[in-house]
Amino acid sequence: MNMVFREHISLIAALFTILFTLQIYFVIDRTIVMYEATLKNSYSVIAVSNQPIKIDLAKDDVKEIEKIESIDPRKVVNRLKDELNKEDLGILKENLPNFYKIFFKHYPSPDKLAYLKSRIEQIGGIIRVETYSKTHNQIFKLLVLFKEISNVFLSAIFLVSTLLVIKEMRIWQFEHTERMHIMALFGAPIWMRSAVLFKVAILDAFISSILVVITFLVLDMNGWLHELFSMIAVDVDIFKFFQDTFKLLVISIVISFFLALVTILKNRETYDR
Amino acid sequence: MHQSEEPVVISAQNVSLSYVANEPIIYDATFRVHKGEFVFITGPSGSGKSTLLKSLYGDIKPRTGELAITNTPLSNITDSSLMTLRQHIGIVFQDYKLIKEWNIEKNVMLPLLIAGYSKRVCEAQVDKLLTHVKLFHRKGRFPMELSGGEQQRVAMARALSHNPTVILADEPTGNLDKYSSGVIWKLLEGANTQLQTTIIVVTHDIPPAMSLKYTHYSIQGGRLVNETNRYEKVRR
Repeated sequence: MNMVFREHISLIAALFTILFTLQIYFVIDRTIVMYEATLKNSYSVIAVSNQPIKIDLAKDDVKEIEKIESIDPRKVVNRLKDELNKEDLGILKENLPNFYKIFFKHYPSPDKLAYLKSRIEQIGGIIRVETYSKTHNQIFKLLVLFKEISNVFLSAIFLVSTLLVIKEMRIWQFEHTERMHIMALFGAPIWMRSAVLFKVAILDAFISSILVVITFLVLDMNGWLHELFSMIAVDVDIFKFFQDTFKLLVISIVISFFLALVTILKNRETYDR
Repeated sequence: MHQSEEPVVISAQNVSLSYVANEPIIYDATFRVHKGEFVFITGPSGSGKSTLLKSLYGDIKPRTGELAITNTPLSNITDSSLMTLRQHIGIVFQDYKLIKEWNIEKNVMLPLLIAGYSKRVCEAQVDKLLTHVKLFHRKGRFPMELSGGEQQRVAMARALSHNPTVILADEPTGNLDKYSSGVIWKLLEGANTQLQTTIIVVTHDIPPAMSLKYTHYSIQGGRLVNETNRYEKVRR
C-alpha cells in the first residue's frame, strides 16, 4: 500500500507542479491581454489637420485605426481665453486647425507606432501627429519585460517539473518491469500488460488536475490576488472553472499518457525477447 | 521413450543457444518430447539448463537449428505469435515470480484473464485449484504474506489454471524444504498423470522415487545427453 501511495504521490506531485505552472502562465497571459486592452483603450495619438478629415476614408487607409474622435476646438480656445483679448481669440478661432484623437485596434509596439505615425501623416490634410512616444515606450517596455521575466521563470519551473516526470518515468519502468515481464511470460498481449500503467497514469492525471483546480479556486476566492491585480487596474479571472478545468485535465491526461507510452515502449525489448 | 506414439509437443533439431555470438552454451541439441511425457533436465550450475528452458518459452532464440513447440517454430516467431503460444504453456520458477501487488486469487487467475475467460469461470477455476494446492483459505492474501513453499504452490496453481499443453519448471524446489519440495513434486506428477500435461523440469536434484520413472537428459559440456537409457540399464 505504501509503495502504491509513494508511486502515486511522486507522479501527482510532478504533474501538479506542471499544471500549476501552466495555470499561472494562463493567468499571466490573460492579465497581459487584459492590460494591453486597458492600455489600448486609454492610449491615443493626436493628429492635427488643416482641413476636416474624412474619418471613414482615413480608417480605410490605415486599417489599424479603431476610431477617430474629433477634439472640440472650443476646449483649446477656452484654455487661452484669460490670456488673450477678444479680438485675438476671434482670429485664433478662425485659423485654428482641426484636432483629432486616434485610437488603435491593438496596443502598438514602438516600431508599429512609428509606422502608423508615418501612415497617418499621409492622410490628406494632416500636418502633425503627436504619439507621446516616450511615455508609450516606457509602458510598452515594462509590459514586454514583465512578459519575458514571467516566461523565463515559468519555463524554468516547467523544465524542472519535466525532469521530475522523467525521473518518475524511470521509477515506473523499474517498478512495473517485473509485473509486465511476468504477464508476458504467460502470454499477455502488450495492451493487457500496459493496462495497469495507463490506469495509474489516468488516475494520477485526474487527481493532479483536481488538486490544481481546488488550489486555484481557493486562490480565486481569496481577495489577496484580486487586490494585487487591481493595483494595475486589471480585474482578471484567476480561474475560469469550465475552460481551465478542461484545459488542465486534457494537458494532464496527455502528459501522463505520453509518460505511460514511453515507459511501455522503452520496456518492450526487455520483456518480449 | 515410452510415449513415442503420442504427438510431439517439443522438437529440437541441432539447436545451439548462446547469449553472445560464437560463444554457445548449448551445442547441437536434438530431442523430442511427446504429449504427456515427464522430462528432467539436469546438469551442474552454469551448464545451460535454464538457458535451454528459456528457449522453450521463447525468451532466447536458437542461434542455429530448428526448435518448435506444438508445431510452432520459434526461430522467427513474431511477438504476437509468441504471446499466443505462451498462453498454452505454464511456467514455474525457482523464485516463484508472483505479482506482489496482486493477491493470491488474482495471481492464479492471471493465465485465465489473459485467455479471456469470464469472471465467473475464472473464480470457479481458481477456487478449485487453490483447494487442490490447499491454499483456498489464503486466497485473499498477498505473496509476501506466504511462506516460500506456499508461494510455490500458488505458482503451481497458476501454471495449471489454464490447463496448459506443457509445463516448464525451472528449479521449482530449489528454494524449498524437503516437505514443500515433496508437495510440489506431487503436484507436478499429478498434473502429468491426471491431465496428461507434458512436464519439463530443470533441476539439479531429482527425487529418487522419480528418477527411474521419467525421461532424463543431462547437459555435459554444452551437449544434451539422454540419460534415460542408462537408467533403464541400471533398472534392468
